[in-house]
Amino acid sequence: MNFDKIVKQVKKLYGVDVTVKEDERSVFLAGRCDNWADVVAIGKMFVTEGKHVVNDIVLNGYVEQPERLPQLRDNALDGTQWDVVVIGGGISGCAVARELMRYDLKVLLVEKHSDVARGASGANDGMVHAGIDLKHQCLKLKYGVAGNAIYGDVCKELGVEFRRSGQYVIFDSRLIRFFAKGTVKRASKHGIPGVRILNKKEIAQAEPSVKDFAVGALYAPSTGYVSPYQLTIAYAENAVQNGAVVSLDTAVSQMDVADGKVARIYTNRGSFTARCVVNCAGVFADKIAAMAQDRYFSIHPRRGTDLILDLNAAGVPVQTISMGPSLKSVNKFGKGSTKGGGVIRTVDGNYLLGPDAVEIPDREDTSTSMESMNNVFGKHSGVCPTLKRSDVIAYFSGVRAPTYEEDFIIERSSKVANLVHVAGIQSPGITAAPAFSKDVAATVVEYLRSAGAEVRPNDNFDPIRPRPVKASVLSDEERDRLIKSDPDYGTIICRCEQISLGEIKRALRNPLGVMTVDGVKRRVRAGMGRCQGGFCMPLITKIIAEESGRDITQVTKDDEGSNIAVGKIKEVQA
Amino acid sequence: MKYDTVVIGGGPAGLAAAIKASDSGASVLLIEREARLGGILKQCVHDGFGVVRFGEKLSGPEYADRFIKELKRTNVQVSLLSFVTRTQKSQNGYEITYVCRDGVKTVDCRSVVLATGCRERTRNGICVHGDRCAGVYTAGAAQNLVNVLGVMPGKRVVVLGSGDIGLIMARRLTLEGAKVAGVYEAKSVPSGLTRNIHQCLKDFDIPLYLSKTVTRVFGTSRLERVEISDVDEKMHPIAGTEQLVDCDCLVLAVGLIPENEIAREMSVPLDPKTKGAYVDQNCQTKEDGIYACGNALHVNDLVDYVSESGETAGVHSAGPVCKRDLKPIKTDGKLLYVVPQMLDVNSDVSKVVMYFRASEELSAQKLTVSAGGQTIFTKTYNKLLPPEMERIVVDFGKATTDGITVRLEDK
Repeated sequence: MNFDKIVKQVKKLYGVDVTVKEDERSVFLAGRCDNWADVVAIGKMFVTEGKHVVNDIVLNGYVEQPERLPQLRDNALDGTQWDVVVIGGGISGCAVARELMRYDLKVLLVEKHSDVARGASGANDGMVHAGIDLKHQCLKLKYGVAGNAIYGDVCKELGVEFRRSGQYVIFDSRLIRFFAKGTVKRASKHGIPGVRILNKKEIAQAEPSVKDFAVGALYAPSTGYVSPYQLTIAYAENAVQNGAVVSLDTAVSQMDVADGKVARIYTNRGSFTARCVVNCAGVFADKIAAMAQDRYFSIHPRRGTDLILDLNAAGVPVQTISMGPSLKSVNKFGKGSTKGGGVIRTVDGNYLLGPDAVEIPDREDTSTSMESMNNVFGKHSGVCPTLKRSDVIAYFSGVRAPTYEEDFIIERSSKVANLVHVAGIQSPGITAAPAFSKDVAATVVEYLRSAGAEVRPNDNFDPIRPRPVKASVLSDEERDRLIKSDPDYGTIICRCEQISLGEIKRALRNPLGVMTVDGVKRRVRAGMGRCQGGFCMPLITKIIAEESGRDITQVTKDDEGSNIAVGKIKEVQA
Repeated sequence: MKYDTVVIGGGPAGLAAAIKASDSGASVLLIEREARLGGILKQCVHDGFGVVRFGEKLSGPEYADRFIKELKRTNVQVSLLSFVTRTQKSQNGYEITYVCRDGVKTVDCRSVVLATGCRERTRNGICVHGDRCAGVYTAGAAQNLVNVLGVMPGKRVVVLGSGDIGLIMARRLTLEGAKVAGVYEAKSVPSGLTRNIHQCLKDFDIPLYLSKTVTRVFGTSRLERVEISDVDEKMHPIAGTEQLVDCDCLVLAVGLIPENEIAREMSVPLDPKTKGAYVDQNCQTKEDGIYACGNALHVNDLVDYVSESGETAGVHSAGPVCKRDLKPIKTDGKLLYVVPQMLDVNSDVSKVVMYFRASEELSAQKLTVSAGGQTIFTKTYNKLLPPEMERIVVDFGKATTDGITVRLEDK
């Protein structure tokens, strides 16, 4: 294809000289640019049907941040041999590992952090999308709709809370309401159930907080909510229950490729072989592809910030609502890089406002800033006019991993025979994972069989992961019985979220062996309430020390090196 | 089980309330979340407690111990490691459900005393942005690490906030060998007691920086440095004034918030100024039979006053529920707040203890309490500081109790 026209356009718009190379899979860009947003914008200009963009345009003056890698060095995995190695412990990797356990396979999942769900899977709003914003046939639509349909069953199996309470896109103009008819038609064509337009009266009834300005709404009843990190953890735990090995603090640093196959994988915990490798490395998926000499797409990190609202804030809606497009922005409906966002009622009963979408060069920069907080508030608070800045009680950022084509890449590599990519997984990745993980597992098995391996079903596969006990939601009688069976369930450690010692101890005995303060927080919500761990963090630190048999100064917040304390006080030292 | 009074919280307010309620003839159950009584005093190993009440400087545990000994003299039932999960109205009062290591318990009572203390504002509450590394702790959490667990939260420390607990932690960490790079305060005046500025900072050469705040934190695993910015009069950071300070620990002493989840559950109206319940002179909230005291009522600067309001709540919670005639107490002038916010004129009004704080640093002030257009109390102050709570006792004896106003104005 001739890219001269686009190259000229880039020069005119951004003053950047782009060099373009092409092969059968990708368009490779090179050049120098002064602004990261422009680097990304230029990359997008070269997206063409059937090809991926590899964007090597360099940001002037930018020193690439070194990847955060575990310091740990041992030989725990050295010389081992696996049927399948899954790289990355996000929702994709954990779901794929679990689905692979339906077969009689030796599966290893490696994750460089000290817990799973540490990337985008742990820092998003947990919306299980209906898929109403997706216009064209794409993998996002295919797996999003399929994933949504099986969500209830998957969460039931994995013992994770899931609530299908729908979503409302609010219209403040009749004309927009008219335009929305197209969305309803499209949704029906795409197999999204029950999408319809509500009139003024109906929306006022469903969501009283918008009655003053809503003239109608688009209602998608199949939208649901899940805790994305708890689902990821549950997938990983169920994989381990069924025989998978999850190796944390383990980063892939290098691969040997021979005869068109990944021959050996090197990590900080030794090197090993795999008959098949699944790349689920999130924001590093293109780097992993490059290690396997299979670089044909680029990930451009995109940060999103969500704000957590005070439950007691005045006028907070009861439903998940977002503002429909205005007349000015109607043409952009569904084209933006976020799913619109708005006020989202999470499965934990919190309210989130957000997200925004900011292109950033650093793949791991999950820091928050006043600027994005202001942007998110400005962008989304319109749907809830009574909201005040002081109603924001906490906030977090996650970095999404989009490709330039903005679709998932879920396929066997055409160059490296034993490599499967699960890349570019961003929203609606949480929704889609239960569906695509089944296909990925099938692809892996198909390849292994084609390569001469005998792959039998795992007759002992148990899809059920026991649901963790949540004492505070039990009836008094049930709770009383529970406490009588184990008095630790009667000792409250996290007062804000009413989490007992029993629940914390149980969380610390997790199949992944994660014993960190934030690991407890992700599993049972201890420290997520009003005081943000001010009261319970020291107690949990002590409990971890006791349960793990480690000295209290060795207890970490999260990854290694994040020790809560730096040493003993004078008296204790003496 | 049935009790006259259930006291929720076994810190200084709850201890005082339980003792007085029992001494006034009530059967009392004291419910405490932790394994030991004393509340936050348990981790306050510094001295300065009890100057007003006992005329001596006690440590936190010593102060608590005096009340715990008193309590043992009474018939108060104490339930430790017990956490209230539900409070609701019943036919003759309230039904309180709590969990403990024996199971789920439900008790009935005529009156409830809320002595649930306060919690600290967090980094989110003051918008400290940046990385999510270890080493950023509220002052109370840092104090717990040092004084209870015997570990150091950091070696080079920045303290944000010059409230008392921030000052005390600056000294405590210095004594344990940490280097405190400075105490930073967004306001133009220190927030803590003057005595603490001297005893905790000046005596240890710890610098105090006013009109500056932490705007960002950096660190991949542990905190590595913080960004400090100057702030304007409205305490908004001024762009271009950023400077980086290396440290491995940030201690946040940025304010306390009364803990009132139970009050909320029981629909007890709260004062947006104090963030505690509206109460009358007997510490009774707008809900008959529900009392609030200590730091759950409003954040006190001295524990002596916490005990005092606990005693008031305790004495009155022991009595029968009477029909009240509540008159609002209005504020006027540069007052941050006044407690109580109401006067029950059906009850004794001759020795009404009132607490107030000025809204800013003021000199040459006159405080006037008037009722029915008549001045019934005046007091002049050479200097008033918002961190220092003032206490007065007013006799409303024969005054008309309509239109009660507390006014603070230039002398």
